[in-house]
Amino acid sequence: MSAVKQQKPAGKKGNKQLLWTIHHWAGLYAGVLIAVICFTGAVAVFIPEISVLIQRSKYPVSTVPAPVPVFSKSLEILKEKYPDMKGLLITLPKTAGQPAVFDFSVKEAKPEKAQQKKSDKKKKAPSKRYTFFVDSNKDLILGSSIQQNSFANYLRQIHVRLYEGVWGRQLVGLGGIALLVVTVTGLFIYADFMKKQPYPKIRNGKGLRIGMADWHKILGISALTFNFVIAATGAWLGLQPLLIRWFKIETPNVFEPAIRSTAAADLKKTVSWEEVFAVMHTTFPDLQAEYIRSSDDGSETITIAGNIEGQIYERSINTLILAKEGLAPVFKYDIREQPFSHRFYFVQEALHFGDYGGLALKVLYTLFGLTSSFLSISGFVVYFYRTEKKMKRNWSPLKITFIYGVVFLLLLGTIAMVSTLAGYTLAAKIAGYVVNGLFFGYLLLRLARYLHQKLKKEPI
Amino acid sequence: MPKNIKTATGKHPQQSIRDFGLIQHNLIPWSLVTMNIVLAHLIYWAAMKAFDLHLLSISILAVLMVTGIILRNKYLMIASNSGYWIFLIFSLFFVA
Repeated sequence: MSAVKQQKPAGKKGNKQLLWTIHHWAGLYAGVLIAVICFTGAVAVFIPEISVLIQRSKYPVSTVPAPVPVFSKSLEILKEKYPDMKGLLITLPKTAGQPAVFDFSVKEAKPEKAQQKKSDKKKKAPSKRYTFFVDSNKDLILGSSIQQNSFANYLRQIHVRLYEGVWGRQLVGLGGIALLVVTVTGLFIYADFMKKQPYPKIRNGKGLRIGMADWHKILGISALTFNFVIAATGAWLGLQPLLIRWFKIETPNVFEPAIRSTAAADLKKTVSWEEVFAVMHTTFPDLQAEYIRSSDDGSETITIAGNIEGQIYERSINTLILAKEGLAPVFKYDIREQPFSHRFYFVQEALHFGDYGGLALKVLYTLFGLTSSFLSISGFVVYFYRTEKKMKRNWSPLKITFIYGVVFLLLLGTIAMVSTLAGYTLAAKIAGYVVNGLFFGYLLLRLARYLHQKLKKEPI
Repeated sequence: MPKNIKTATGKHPQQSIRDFGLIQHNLIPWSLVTMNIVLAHLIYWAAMKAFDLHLLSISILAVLMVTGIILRNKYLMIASNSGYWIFLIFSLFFVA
């Protein structure tokens, strides 16, 4: 540092400089994370549509739709085959030609005592998840698959937690906060950076740095509200488990019915599904059922969860719980009748995934999501050009950005391949090593560089 | 600066600079911010197939806003922006 200390600019100019510094550092340190989250999010908005497409092509159902879904026979067959099934969740078909999905887990037999390790003795027996596809027009089991290894699950896991099970979700939440910071600071420094340049002029022929900087400013301001919304909702969704624990926030629509019998007796108790749908139509006429859950904990209830048309809220938060005996309503949760706090809690996910305006809105979300990803890349290109002379790198800024981009795309592709072909567990293990390795490796590198510079300036 | 100097637009240079700042640094960014919401609102309403006065109002305001941005017309931008925000707040609190 020079002997004469540089004076800090005061007032408005100083504030703008501080905002630019925050924008710069937040973008530099979280830019890669933001780019990955926005890119995966741009595809992840189509998870339900991709799931339906795959299911329809792999398990085609009869074309003549039944007035109400029928699956009693299929359920009895599965109950006979898996008498210890737990947590049965039936996903009803949303469109014609789509199968109903039965999802449940079965506790695996514990290994022989002699074979057990000491540490394993205290652990619960592991459960295995099963997913069956049923033609709910003909009441016919079509086949099964391991849902965890599906492409839809890959998209969900990579966007929600970068496929890292320990703190991946929180990391994504922090990425949301960083995006929020760069978005807000970007708005305040926009005018200073545009100066006499009118919107949407791109200064062509002045080099890649100027061109990229112009695109960065023009696209950044054009997608600002979208970025703000996905950043704020994404930060909340990512950090939700922690925030709920820290601030003791209660999930609004949770209801625990009283236990009436044993788990085994509850599991054996059957109901007429036609009657269940009839009661649902009279008790909650606007409910478009998405999921049905039959209790197995002794509460002897049927839970129906679904949506109400035209409402911008998280999927399947409207709930109707019926008693298996007599099908009397035990609990009803209609989001339209709830206070503002409940509505605010449940609006986040719908706003984040664009799940309220059909396919057209999802296409718009994808375009905006790709724009946000591009903003990170263009920011890096500008940074590399700006620091080119000072850093004396061997490669050109564009080459470095291209290599980084290809490496990250290859990583995402490899995890997708491993997840769908070799299984979720292996993919999660690899992703865990990659995410944590990159994160802590980068931290160590920065620390080493900082110490190296410090020692260079102040020799011992 | 002399008072009688005028630019090609017939305005005093300082007036032109002030207008440029107002339009380029305030009104256009604010219109773009609003335009994001208008787009989502328009698609949401169209997806519900509710072809009514509500959809017509959003469409007219959207066209006015885009025209304002393209022509860099401050009056169009101010009118369409304030019109849309009043309309949105009214819809949220009194209709929804």
